[in-house]
Amino acid sequence: MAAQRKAAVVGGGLAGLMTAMKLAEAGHKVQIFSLVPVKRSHSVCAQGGINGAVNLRGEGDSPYLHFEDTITGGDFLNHQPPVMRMAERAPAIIYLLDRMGVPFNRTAEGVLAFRRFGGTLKHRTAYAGATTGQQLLYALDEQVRRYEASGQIEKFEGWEFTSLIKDEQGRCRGLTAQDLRTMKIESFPADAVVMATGGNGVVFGRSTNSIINTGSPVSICYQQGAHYGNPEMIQIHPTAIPGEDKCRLMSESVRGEGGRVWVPKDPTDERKPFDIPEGDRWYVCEELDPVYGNLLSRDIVSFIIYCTCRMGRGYKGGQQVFLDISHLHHKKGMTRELITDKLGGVLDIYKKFMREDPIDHPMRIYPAVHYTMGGLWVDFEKGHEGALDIESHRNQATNIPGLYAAGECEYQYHGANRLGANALLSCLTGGELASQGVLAYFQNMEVSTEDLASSVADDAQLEQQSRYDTIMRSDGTENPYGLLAELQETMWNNVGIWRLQKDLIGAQGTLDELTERSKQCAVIDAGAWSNQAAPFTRTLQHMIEMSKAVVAGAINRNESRGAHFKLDTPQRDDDQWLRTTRATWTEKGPELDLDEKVDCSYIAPRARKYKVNQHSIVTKIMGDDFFEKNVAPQVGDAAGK
Amino acid sequence: MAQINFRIWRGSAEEGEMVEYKTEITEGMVVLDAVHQIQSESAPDLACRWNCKAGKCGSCSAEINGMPRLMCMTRCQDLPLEEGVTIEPMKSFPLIRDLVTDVSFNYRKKKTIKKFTPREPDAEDGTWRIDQADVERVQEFRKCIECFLCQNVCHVLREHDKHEEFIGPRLFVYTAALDMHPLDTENRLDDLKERDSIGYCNITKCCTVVCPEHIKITDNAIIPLKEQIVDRHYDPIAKLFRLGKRK
Repeated sequence: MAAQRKAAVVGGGLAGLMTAMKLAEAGHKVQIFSLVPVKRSHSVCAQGGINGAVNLRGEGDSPYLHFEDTITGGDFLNHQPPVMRMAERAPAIIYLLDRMGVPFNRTAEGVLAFRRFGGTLKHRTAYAGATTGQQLLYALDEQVRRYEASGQIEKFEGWEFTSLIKDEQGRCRGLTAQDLRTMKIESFPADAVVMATGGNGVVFGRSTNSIINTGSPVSICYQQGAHYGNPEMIQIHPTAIPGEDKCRLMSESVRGEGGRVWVPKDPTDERKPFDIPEGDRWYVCEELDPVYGNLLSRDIVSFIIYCTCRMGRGYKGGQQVFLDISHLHHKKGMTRELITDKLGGVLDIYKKFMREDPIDHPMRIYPAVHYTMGGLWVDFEKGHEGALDIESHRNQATNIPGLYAAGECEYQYHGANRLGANALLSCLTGGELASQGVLAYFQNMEVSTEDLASSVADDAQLEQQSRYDTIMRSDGTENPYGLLAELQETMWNNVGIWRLQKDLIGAQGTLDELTERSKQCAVIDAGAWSNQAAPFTRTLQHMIEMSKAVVAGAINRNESRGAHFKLDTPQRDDDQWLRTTRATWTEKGPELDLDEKVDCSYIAPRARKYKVNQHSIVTKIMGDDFFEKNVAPQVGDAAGK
Repeated sequence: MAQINFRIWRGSAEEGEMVEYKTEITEGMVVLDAVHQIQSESAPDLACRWNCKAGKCGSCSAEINGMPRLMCMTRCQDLPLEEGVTIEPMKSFPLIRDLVTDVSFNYRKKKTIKKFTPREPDAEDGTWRIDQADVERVQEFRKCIECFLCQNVCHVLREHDKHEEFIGPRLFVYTAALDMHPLDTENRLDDLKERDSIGYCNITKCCTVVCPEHIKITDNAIIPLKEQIVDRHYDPIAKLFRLGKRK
């Protein structure tokens, strides 16, 4: 075996634990840094399942079909070789989890059971009750614990990643982090660093994400020179229970089982939804696309609901529409018990918070930000016959040597839109591939942590200490919690579902203003022990920098693709825009380059199969002349060009 | 709706007191919403831990009107609001600050439990056949979100401070999840009996009552484990049988 090396993994969710486990398996030392105890990571919130074309039902399913669904789902913005690798690897990953003791649901014969999910016609999703993410994390935590006992893995829970350590050659040689209890900042030299820090939903406020999903660690790497890929691609889930500070997800399976989306024809209708007769209801999805109806893809349904409410046609004119399963138990062959069996966990959440049983009462829902397709730009290398060369050190590697990324925090697998039950998969296959990349990197590495000049690590630590001290000494008047609310409002209103060039450019101005104001925060807690307000201010500053890249990417992409729909340019434009947005941080704002073409070496781009797209939805709901009246025909010169 | 009185514990392990706050409660708010509102209105330095706000991460455990609960899953309107609401940190763990406690005792203890050890695969392709009923038994235990409310309410830890000898309901569930896994072959019963003192549990079922995931901790985990230990160590016929076998 080669010499033992030391890696640092930031993030203790599925991707992070998978990477750590694989690196430890290969004999190296790993330090895991996590804001929260690893079992509280956002991976636990994934409910649905994990895709893998195991084809136990003999439906003719194959990794190739899985690959194809993922690419069409992503609207052809995902590079194809890594996606192919993910699909090919999926069955083995599911069996690996089975061996680790994940209690996947079984069929009567005792073999793995698979269910159907959005974006495919095959039974391809393995699941463990309604808590698949939690059960997977449980199993990986168990594995990591073994290496912890042997001393190979060390966990730093309750530590916040504050910066990378870069040497003079620009290589990543470790990181600095802050203990959120003692507030002490320390440096941790390492031979390689793997980011596995999840998405940035919190930036948008209306999000199903956990509060730790600020994207701040990605932003830190980006500000230290890492490229940021496709920042404008943000998935919005159509059905969430609206909440004050975060939204609770209602799974896609509700629509899958026959849930219908509707609003009263008269928005001033004061009747209880249950009393509104069939004739006075507007089934908006079904009217727009009679074939797919309520089972249109996530981005389209979100858009329909948004437009309906924007026109003031939501229930009682507000931001809510109905997701209705109250008709289901009257159906032939359906009983209340059967519905509870299939959707129990999901319906319980609604019952708990909204005080109505969805089996009898239509649920009130609204879209919310759900997943970050964009993220740290990572590389891949093709080998034999154009397939991914899994032994390359370039796989999952950012443009900073020694810095890798896996899971939701990188941009590679989901293109412009993610399919259901692919997230857990990409965390695991991505984590595995990242560990292989790191191993290859170790082999060719001449230096090690021992010969890193201590001054490099000390400088990085001092820099972070001084940044923190500046925040603690700040004597301004701004309330950071208030600034976050403003940031969220700006992002949701201008960069959410409804994107207009002029609003985006406006948002850019607001962000610049917020940057300045975030430096003028009042110190609301001067405590040196377990201080929550000061690290929050720091996170807020990082969130603003990241938001600038999201806005710039949206301004620049003059087309509509997947989750990115811009009214000024409502059509997909494959001639010009089969390209990755790559953002580089500068003090003046993000610089974008579009040199990288999407690798379409397996299948050529083709159109989506739905009867409607966002453009036709607007004309149907808002009126034929909406575009003429509201959208300037000529788009102004975009940023970064 | 109305201005409601909240009494919240403020302070460190050394000193502290209950502090009164007033805040407006509206339809549908949970206790965590109220705490956030108090943070933004009058106590920005109030420390509380939360993350998913969907009852999945297990971070926001506290004692609300004396009852161990998740703040994000407790609706204000379910509480007798006119009498005011008290929020205190969990009492069975060392206090860090305000509502935040140090639950690392549980993680330390967890490391001592023997790991999952699967049997050889049944089929040539390296996979196993498992009955759905066996899967469901384990899935129930693995629903645990490690909020540690059960540990907090357990009198062996809370009243008698047996943290060194007794691993508590959460870790009995954990042991059961490993032990009743259809593939597992390891023996953890001796540890449970001797080192982990499962005998201290006198099945008062307080842990089952507070579990936010509705795991039947006592009935499905602790009692079957106790029964297995009895079978192994105290069944006279089995003992004879084992003696006979040894010769």
